[in-house]
Amino acid sequence: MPLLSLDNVDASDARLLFVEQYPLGMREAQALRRLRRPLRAGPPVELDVAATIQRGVSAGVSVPPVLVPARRNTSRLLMLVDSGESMIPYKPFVNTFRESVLEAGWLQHVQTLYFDSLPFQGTDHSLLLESDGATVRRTLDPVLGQIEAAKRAELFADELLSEPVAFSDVFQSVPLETVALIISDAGAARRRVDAASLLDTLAFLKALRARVRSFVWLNPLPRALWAHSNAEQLARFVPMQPLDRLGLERAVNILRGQPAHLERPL
Amino acid sequence: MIDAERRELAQRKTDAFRRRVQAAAASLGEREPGALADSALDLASHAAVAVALDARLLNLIRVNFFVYRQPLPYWTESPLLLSSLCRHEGDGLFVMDEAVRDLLLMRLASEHGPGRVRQLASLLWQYAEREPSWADRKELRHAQQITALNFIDPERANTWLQEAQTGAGENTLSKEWFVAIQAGLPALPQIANEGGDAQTVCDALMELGFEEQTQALVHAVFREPGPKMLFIAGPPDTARLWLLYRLIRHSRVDVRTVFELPWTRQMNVELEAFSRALAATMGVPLDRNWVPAIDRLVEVGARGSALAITGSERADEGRLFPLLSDVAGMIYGRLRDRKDGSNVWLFIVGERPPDRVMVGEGPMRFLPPIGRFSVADLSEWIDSHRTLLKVPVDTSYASALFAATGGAPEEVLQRLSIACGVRWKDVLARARAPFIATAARTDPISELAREYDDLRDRMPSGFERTRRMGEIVRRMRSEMRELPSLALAPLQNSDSAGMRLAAVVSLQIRPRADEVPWLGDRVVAPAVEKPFVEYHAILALQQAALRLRAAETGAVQETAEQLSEIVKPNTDRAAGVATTVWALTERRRGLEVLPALELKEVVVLPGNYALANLTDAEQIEIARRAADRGGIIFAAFVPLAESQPRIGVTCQVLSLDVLPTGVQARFRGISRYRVAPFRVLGVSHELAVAPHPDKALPAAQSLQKLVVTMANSPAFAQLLASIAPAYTPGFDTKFPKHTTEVEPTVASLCYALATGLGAPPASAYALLEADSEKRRLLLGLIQQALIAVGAGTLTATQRRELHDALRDTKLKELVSYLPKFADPPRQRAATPKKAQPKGPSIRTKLWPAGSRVKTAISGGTPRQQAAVREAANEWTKHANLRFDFVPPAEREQADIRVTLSDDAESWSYLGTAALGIADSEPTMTIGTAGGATPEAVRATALREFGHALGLINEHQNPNARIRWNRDAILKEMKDQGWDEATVDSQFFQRDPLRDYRPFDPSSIMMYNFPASWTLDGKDSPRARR
Repeated sequence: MPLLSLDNVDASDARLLFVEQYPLGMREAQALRRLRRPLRAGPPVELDVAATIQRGVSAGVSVPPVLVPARRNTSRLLMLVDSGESMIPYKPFVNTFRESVLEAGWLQHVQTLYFDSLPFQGTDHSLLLESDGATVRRTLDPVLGQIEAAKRAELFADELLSEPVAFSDVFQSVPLETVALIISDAGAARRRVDAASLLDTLAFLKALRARVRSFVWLNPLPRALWAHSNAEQLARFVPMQPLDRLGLERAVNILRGQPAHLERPL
Repeated sequence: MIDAERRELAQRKTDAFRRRVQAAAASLGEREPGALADSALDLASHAAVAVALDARLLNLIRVNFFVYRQPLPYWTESPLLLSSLCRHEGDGLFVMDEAVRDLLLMRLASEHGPGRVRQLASLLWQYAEREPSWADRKELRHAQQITALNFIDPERANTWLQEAQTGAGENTLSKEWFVAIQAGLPALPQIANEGGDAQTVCDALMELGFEEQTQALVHAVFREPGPKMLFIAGPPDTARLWLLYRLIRHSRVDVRTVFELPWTRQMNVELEAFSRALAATMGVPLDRNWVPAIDRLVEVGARGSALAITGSERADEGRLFPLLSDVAGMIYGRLRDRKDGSNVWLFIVGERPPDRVMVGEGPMRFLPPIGRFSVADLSEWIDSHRTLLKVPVDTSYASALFAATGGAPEEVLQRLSIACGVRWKDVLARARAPFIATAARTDPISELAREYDDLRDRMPSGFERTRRMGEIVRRMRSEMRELPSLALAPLQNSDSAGMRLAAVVSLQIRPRADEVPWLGDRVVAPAVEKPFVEYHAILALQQAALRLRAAETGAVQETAEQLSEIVKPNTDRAAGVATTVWALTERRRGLEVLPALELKEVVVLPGNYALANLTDAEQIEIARRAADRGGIIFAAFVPLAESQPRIGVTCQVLSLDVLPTGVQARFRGISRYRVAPFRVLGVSHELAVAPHPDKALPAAQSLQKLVVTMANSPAFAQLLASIAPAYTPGFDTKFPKHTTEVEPTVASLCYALATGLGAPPASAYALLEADSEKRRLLLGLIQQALIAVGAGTLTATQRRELHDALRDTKLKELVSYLPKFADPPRQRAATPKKAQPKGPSIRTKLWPAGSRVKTAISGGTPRQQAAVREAANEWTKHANLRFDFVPPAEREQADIRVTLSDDAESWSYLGTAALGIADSEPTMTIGTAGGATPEAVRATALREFGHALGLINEHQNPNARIRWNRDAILKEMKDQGWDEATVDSQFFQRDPLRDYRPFDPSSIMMYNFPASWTLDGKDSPRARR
């Protein structure tokens, strides 16, 4: 087969950029540094000046220096990334964001898991049957308290969704100080409103809530485009922020413990 | 499916995509959703170059081509991939339908020319080489590259394909690949390199087709004299305009000038929009009667003129045709008067022909609909213009062209232009150029300046003329806000007073320190300017005084002092100068006395000093920072008393105008807030205000320190002592001067409440009792601050604490005043009790007396909406406030936003709590299930508006003493999906703090409930009915 090349072809000489640009980059991901939880742990290597002087004064003779363990960041982040079909257009953006978090976030541990549109399916849909045909708001709000936390979930270790991870492996082993970010369009990209999948999502979030300190849902679509989709409904129950600079700042605030304003907290 | 159908489907898909982006852009608050949607369609047309598309490639296309001239935000990318234009083929690759791709590539070539196509091909080639995930996908990579090569050098692409297909060896591609690629390549339009001459091509294309239309036109010309109206109908594409330009070239039509007036939707609702556009198109001053415009048209008509109204598909027929009838009638009358054989044409170009014919005088014709070009037309034209075509043409070219386009005029013309190496839009522009009048709106500012000069010459002086000149200034301002910035020198040195006025107005919008002396000269130099320009020069000075940096205001001070000696006393100019001086003084004082309080997420911009504070760059920066964090800004204003001189009012309004310009960039809600008596204006609440973990605040500025340690602190006592004289009896004479002293107290109170530091000492309130008037004012402010703090910004726990604090501490005393303050005076008037809708209320949620509450209604039928309005207005007969109904377009600015919906329950936020709700959300919903009758809607709306006024349900009136059967209610409501907590809050919860008026079972705020819900078997009176 002959070589296909542009040699001797009068191609355009315009200078072209080959670096993608997304609303969030390395710089913005630094916001996650605010999640740090410095703890002294490990071998004593740092000099405690005050204690040394104190001991010297009280002993009245020269004493060896007092050493304490160095501070280190013990923040842990669990990222749950939607790798379903409606998220395909956002894949490069989300990957860039994930890499930025890994590099610029300065967190002790970041674990990323993937799921296909819904991390969990199989709640008791009979909850919805009672008011068949009514709006989602009317259907869902009254039964919110009755949704049971999910006891299993379909999570994967890789983006291609080929390596399943056992629910128990993830959730039982998560240390309690972990915070979680969920990155998904929540039906907003395709404008889906579906009470059943909302129910499943809420069941999963209940399970998640029991295991992590706090969590925030990051939606790659701007807030105004959540309207008339599951995202709009979900944002009433759990903290959801758009995946942009301001949204990330606010998400970090919420992960740090600031109360989120929700119409109907889960 | 035949080709024409596929093309049509593709067209529908692109239209749907464009509409979707436009709707999304509108909901995101983009300034020009239509233009953005067009750009998004351009992005799609760029993406069509690739055989298969992935998200990264699309991003690179956007980053390379949609940053400067047609900027597109990131969110526009995914709607394209997820739209029906693209199909997901797996592995993150999206493919476009052949017909869609064809259509989009045509758009690309005709809008952006072959140069852009080559750039894109180059991008595609390099991307295919670089993209790691394509490295081992040989077929995909080769498909992209051969496509790219085909755009740049089709011959070479073809040669390679031949060689590769016949060549053997290991490295070959599959047979299917070659089949697929070769099926795909010929569908690409033939694109010649640029280099054709648009004018030559335009002249040549004029000879193509449209015989029938020409016949009809010639027939029309010779039938009757007078203005002639012609409808050129068809889908809104450029072929309609092309036909128009082509027809008026006809030797017997003899039109030399066409005035083109695009119809906008605004004209459907506002007659003046049409008048404005007509005047602007004709280059004459605005006049409601159109007389100057029609005169001009007829005058030019002596040399052959036409008025073409394009885009009639946007028109509301009920508006367009009566209006055209008027225009035609006027033209006809003028022509009859002149009797000199001059002639005027009226063209209406648009999508659909009118369904009723109505024109009063003058004949009207419909041109036959635009037909398709036939193969014979095409081959004849191609034969005679072979030299123009820059692509290889063989005998089958005409039929191939016909096959690809179906003979649709626009597509044929586009393709032929591209084949001739020119852009279709250039050709169209050439066709248009000889006819379009030069009075086109290239420079709106000089047009307005001319209008001003003309008005001054033509009209005798008086109120009406000043009003119109004011209107011109207003339009200048709105035009200038759109423009980036104006070169001042040519305007300033112009002989035209209108141009100089434009320079002055420009300085009102963008004050400049170096131009202050020039502004002064407008007034100082004798007889240079008329008083009107002088006045506006002084207004520009005022803006300079308010908005320049403090260091730059020296020149303003100097000029203003100089002016105050010259201007005639007791004129608007004198008042303007005085305001300027006053503003400067306040600014200096304000900076010394009271800086903005920056408290984590709350900023208090205090008081009358706010005049200075709001305008100082540094203070605005503080506010902006707070806004960025999603914080709150309190702009506290001294209530405007009757006795306050007008000058102070002006200043406050001015300074409120300034704040948005400083902060608005990132903070859109703020311009909604306006100066109103008794109002502290609280803004925005997307984020929570969380208490700072560390309560010991740094002692930064003196006042902050004061406030922090305020309880029982000697320093605070000192502060109070210093302002005490303001509240002694007999102080009224000095009221204006000392009003400002209220502000520190208010600010401290806001601060104390917002930070949860505890209640201020009782002495503060004791002080307030000295003077009932001041107390009322101050309490009003505090109350509003409490509402602002309580409604939108505190967490539930904090609200509870605040509530407790109010009950338990000295503030109780304060609260006890509030009802007295909030009582609308008219409520006490003796009106017949029976007819009056009323109910128990939560007083802290009442709207301030005299409020004008902006209300927007959407959804439902017009009759249902009317019923809602009627219900709302029923309340205004008894409450001292007004509902101002705003059109749906201004819904986000409305205080109360009503949605009628047939799948919702009826509910409303209570009173002023509605102010704390996000702009996009409704604050009231009225359920209209099953097409409720207007009567039913009215009854519901009456109750919900009661809630919106701050009234609670009558059965929750503590004086009601209804003996509820809790178990029965719980059981029944549970069936309707209410949980126990909801039932409790809706039925049994009482607010023990309030003193309610006696229970009124016949109130509109009383729900119907059955006897079984009470222990004593009493039902609600209305249930009995």
